[in-house]
Amino acid sequence: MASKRADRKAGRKTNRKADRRANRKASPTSMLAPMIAMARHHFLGLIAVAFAVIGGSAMITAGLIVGETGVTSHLPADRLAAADILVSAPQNHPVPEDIDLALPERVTVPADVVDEIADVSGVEAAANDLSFALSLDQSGSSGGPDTMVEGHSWDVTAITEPALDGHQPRGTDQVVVGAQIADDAGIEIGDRVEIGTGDSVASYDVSGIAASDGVWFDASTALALADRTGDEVDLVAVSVEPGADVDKVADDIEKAVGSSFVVSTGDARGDVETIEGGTARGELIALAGSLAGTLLLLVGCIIASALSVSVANQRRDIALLRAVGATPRQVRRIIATQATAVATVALVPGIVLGYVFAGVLAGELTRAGMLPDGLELARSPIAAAIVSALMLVTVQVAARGASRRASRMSATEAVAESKVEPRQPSRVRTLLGVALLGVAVIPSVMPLIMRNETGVLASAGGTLAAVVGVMLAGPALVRGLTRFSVRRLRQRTPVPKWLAVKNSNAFALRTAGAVGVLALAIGLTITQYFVESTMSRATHDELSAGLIADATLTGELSAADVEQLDKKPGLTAVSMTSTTVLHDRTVAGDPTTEIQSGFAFGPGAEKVVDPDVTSGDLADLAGNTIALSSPTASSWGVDVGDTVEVVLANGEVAEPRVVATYERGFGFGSVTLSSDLLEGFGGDRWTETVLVDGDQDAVRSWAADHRGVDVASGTALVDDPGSSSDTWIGRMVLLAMLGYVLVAVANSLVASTMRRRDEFATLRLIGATPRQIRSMVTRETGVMTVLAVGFGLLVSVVPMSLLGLGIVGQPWPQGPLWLIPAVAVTVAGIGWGATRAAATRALRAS
Amino acid sequence: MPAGLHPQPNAPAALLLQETTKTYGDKVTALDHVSLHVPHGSFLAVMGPSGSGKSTLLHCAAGLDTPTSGQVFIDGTEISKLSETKRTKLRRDRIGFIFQSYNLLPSLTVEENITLPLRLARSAPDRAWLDNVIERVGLSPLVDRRPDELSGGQQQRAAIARALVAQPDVVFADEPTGALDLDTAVDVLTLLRDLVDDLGQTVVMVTHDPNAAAWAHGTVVMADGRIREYLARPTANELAASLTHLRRA
Repeated sequence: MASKRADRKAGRKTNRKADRRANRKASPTSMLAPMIAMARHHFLGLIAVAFAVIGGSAMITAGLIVGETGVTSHLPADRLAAADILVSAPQNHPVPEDIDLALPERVTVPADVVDEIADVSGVEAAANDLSFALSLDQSGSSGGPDTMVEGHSWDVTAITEPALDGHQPRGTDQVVVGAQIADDAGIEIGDRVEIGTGDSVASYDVSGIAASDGVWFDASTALALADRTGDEVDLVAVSVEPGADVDKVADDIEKAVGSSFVVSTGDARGDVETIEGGTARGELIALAGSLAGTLLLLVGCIIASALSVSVANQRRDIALLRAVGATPRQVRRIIATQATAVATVALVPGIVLGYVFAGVLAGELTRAGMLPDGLELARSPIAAAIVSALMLVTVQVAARGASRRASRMSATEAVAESKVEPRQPSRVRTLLGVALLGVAVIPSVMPLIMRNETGVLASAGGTLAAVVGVMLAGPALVRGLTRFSVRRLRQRTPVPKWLAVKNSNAFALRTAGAVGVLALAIGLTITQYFVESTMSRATHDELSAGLIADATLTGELSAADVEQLDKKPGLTAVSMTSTTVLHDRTVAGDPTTEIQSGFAFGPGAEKVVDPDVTSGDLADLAGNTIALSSPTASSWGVDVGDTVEVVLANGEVAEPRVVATYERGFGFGSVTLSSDLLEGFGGDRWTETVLVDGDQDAVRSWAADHRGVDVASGTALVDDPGSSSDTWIGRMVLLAMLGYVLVAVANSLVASTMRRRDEFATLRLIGATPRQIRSMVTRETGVMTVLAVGFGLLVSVVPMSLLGLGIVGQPWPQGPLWLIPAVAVTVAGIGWGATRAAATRALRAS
Repeated sequence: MPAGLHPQPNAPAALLLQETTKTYGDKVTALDHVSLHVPHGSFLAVMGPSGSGKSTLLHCAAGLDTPTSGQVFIDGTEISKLSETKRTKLRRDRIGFIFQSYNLLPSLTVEENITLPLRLARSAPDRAWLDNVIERVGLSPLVDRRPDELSGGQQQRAAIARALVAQPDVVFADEPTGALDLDTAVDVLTLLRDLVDDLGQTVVMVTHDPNAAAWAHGTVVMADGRIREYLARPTANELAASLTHLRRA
């Protein structure tokens, strides 16, 4: 044994020398002939590689296109298309060392900055622009529901120049109405209309009808109606003099106003006009980012496993190449070039498919409301280029890695070992895998300590680490576990079983390869599904328990409506508006920004919701106040009575006092605000949800007079399908990934079973019946699937049970439990079917 | 009179081929009315250039393949008409195989490899015979090793032991020394010859090496699917001359 090792060492030393000599002469083309010959003989293995590349590049391309859309795509400018330049405040919050977070509400600019802009040379006109939500009810109409319209300042028409009948609005009681609105409501010049801002209603004379959309007031009236904090407007629209260079003027404006403003021209104007575009783009980037990790890991594992099967199938050829004088490096280059050639061919259909997938995904995203209509998918070649580079590098590295051992053996060793796999699993690999498995325990117990999203995400991350751990430590684990079965074999054990156990143990690497990928498929599917279902279960449970209102009103409801309803005897009406806040803090010395979502409530929240308050009192939630979920309060290091600095949805910094902490953070979000905090962007004036405590009949009779308002039970929000399309997209992506893994595994299993033709032939010759051989393969597949299901469930069901215990208080996975056996049976069934079919074919061929 | 060694009176031949023909499709005749008689306890070599039909002869004689016409008998049992399953069973009870590439299963130890045919037949090994066979092939100290821990010659001797373990009527050897160096080849051939002489084993060996064939009792030389010549106890030189003659013809 020792002498053999010495031989090997000596062999390597001379190999390296030969390597250097040969590399000076050998050109890649000189290797073409053996490469093609080998490829022709090992078609099946290469098909598996090709499939892994096609499926992987398709999914990554689709993800990249979604991400790229987030980075580069813009909504077209519409209302302000006539403005050459728009000047606005940055619509995002800077995050140290990360992508800035888009703010969902308008960040405003001072009303007087327009004067500075107007003075810049080349500027023809500059006007303040404001947009604010209004209700319109023309007097004498048939009593239909109020129409929601957008109010603007007349100033901006200096730039948009709509055709006008009548005259511009003057003073505080005149309004110009857009033609479409006028048509729909039957409004004519001289009519009197009632317009509500949410908290007040006033009458206006219609002074004119303009060929554009919205309603217009004179500048100071508009400013008063919009009621922005301070003297602020949304943005400044600019037109340049005829013949002036727009980019030059934009540069000059930027110099004049300073870097705290954003000057936009061309396509970028659309996002300034409609900030939803920017918010949606932020979500797209986040979606692509969340997919990227899992997807890259998955595709990397699948390609590596397909390549290792392919290389194993070519072992004999590698031995021959070594025997006829190919250096280890030449061998690796042959294998890598062959794999790269296959991958290059496979990339073409993969990328085309990716562009198709992206289209399908975009359709679903639009339907889910994550992609605004009109935001075009970025179908540039950038995604294709990135995917190509990524795939080719992965394939090169994986191929060289897979052929490393085979290429390094001395030529004689290579011939001798050509039919036997490496006997001992690498120790480094095993240790690394076991270490990862050990480390994975920490994140999976996190939900027990941190009952919030951080804990949930840690749990999901723990599974990923454990899956990689299983793949690395697989051969050693398989060898260890099958050793028990080997010991239990008796003289009388039926020969198919006897052979199957012996083979599974001796070919631990082959067994573990399949076990690892199947466990990956089971583990990832179950984890991804149950993380999501545990979250929605927790949300559902907490909302069921925490919504104590008697009725839920939905529709365009104003602060005035809420007040009116609240004044009725025996009723308490509370507005409920979803919003987000940002919080800057330092985690382990690194500054970071958290985004937290929750609801803003009007006064009286304690009567309609019970978020399970642990300290403080929800009744104090009014004015400059906030309530926090307990984990959020403790991670921010604040308690009831403290003030906390948060950034509101419009970028405004607030320092509300903490009035309560509560437990039901999944149902009600990590933060609960007083609706007074939303005043700066008019968030307190309109709401789509009002919770009412008191007699339902009184609520119904009030709602009967208000068209467009629906009344439902107090717990109606529990079954709010708000996020279901989002969930659906997640499941669709998950299904695509599972399908990809299963087909890839089936391919690899077929390829590695077909490789055993010689072994089957030998068995036939020494007297095994085809039935005995099939039975042996079936049992081997049985061992493999049992191990795969065991590992797969271990790395998924255990953390998911801990998650269930931590989040919902029940120590088992939360969601449809039948899914677990269903996934296990599907994955096992496909593994079993593929191997068995391949064995039958291999037997026929032998 | 079939070519082969002289029949012994009153005993069925270990292997008997009668007018055996094997054609592939309409055109290729791999075996053309071959008759062959191999008595028990004899060592026959089959030689011939590539494509002469020696491999097809081996396959038909061993029941791996069925002849298109004619008959094949192993110790008096006609195997040419048996079903695939029956032939498999007959193979594992009455025929042993030795291959050029040893064909040992890498996941089994030497002893497990040797006894595998018995396991497949679900019969218990005759311990005394097993020990005898292992002793004879010289692997007694190595029975617990795995094939990749053995040299080529040791692996081939394990394969020989495996072929003998079921006490078959005939052992077929297909180029058994093809992958071995000269000295090891001589060891293996000596072993085969001793099995015939000492134990009365019947061995049919296909080879293209006149030096290997010279160890047999007799050699049939094939060409174009027919037996061209039978040489009793030829020397390597005689065999080489015969082959050269065939190539010129």
